[in-house]
Amino acid sequence: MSSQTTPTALEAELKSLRERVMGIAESVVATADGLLVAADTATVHAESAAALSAAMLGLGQRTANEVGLGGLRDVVTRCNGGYTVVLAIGDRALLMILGDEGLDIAALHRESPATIHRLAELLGMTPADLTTA
Amino acid sequence: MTGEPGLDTPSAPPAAHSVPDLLLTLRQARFTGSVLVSGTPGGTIRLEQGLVTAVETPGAPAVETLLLKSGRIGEAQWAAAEAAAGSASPGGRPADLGAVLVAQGAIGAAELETVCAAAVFDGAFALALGRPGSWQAAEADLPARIALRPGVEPGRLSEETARRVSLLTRLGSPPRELAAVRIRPSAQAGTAVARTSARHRDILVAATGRRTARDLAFALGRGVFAVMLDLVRMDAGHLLHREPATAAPGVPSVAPRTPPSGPPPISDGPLPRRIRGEQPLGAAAARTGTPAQGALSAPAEPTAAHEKSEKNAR
Repeated sequence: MSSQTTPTALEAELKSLRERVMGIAESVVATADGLLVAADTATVHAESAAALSAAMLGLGQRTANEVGLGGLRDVVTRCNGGYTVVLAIGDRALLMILGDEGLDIAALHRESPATIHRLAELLGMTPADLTTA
Repeated sequence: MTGEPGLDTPSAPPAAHSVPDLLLTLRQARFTGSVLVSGTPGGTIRLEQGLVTAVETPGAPAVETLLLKSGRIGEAQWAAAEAAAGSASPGGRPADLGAVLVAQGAIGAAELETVCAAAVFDGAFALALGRPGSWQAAEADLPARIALRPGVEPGRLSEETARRVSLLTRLGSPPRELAAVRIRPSAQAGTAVARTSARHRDILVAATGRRTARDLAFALGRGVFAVMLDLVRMDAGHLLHREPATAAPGVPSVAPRTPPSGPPPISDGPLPRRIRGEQPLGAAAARTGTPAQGALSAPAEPTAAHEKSEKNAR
């Protein structure tokens, strides 16, 4: 698994987010079609999470279009033991975050835009790629 | 937010320099509502007649987590109680979830009260570990879904919090520093595990090197203070290895961090693709660049850092 290899710049960014926001346990960066790019995981199967997060984001975006509530911000799944949050990185990649019940949602909302921006840069996207998302 | 005049502006009243001060003032006013504390972690302190009935914060497990993660209450029982509490008072406020749980026989009243009180003290302890932010009182908030009734005197709460902080400090682990440390079992823990208690063994299993004391508390459904006390005791028994904190929490690193080889430029091309059996693209690209510093993959290093933390613990 990628979490066992040398930390990459992407993984370092994910680790930094985990240390800045209380309650984040694991995270995954994937392409919009669900292929794993980088992972900061311990227990979850990173490739499965990547595939599922792409499906979640796609459904969320189509739902947002259908119901006319404006653009999609993020897709949140609330479970008995915690949360998953899926955020788009431009229109070609995404970030999935797994958190426990105490996930500091306010801090996540505060920190995630900058993280998304840096991940996009690391993935070689231009600012224009981000604004179209 | 409809705070009382003079109470909803944190810096204005000279009487309240701190949250404990504010709580004492609100106790005299027999205030019912919430105090919203911002900061890392922030939280919500619920008050009834000025008594603290619940503290909700990302920094410590809530009653719900303590009940569910510890297995005291099953998920099905919990869902049933939520459904009953929601429908109990049509149009009005939802019924107290704790009372419903007791009425349904999911937990005894005394046990629930113990857990609620523990959560209040633990939440206050976690708030005390955070960096202080601003705060404001709000009267209109709904009460906590599970609350300790009657609540704790705010004076007693801050006394107990101070006692907990000073106890850990006296034992050699100031809790604000301990809170930032990520823990994993030491090299010696493998042989010693048979002799440790089940409580410590659970911690050893859950300590992956990624979790702080707060994360362990959530994972195990225990209080943060209780976990910290166990960590200090286990540290004295050479069972733990403290991962050094990489960066000060709350300070995002903006330094250039692209490795020499860098991830491949993909701005114009298709999405990064991975061939089955190979490492993910980014991992493969950077392996040539950055030296191995993996906290997870590196073999156990029971040397310098560990001995240092041992000394500190004494």
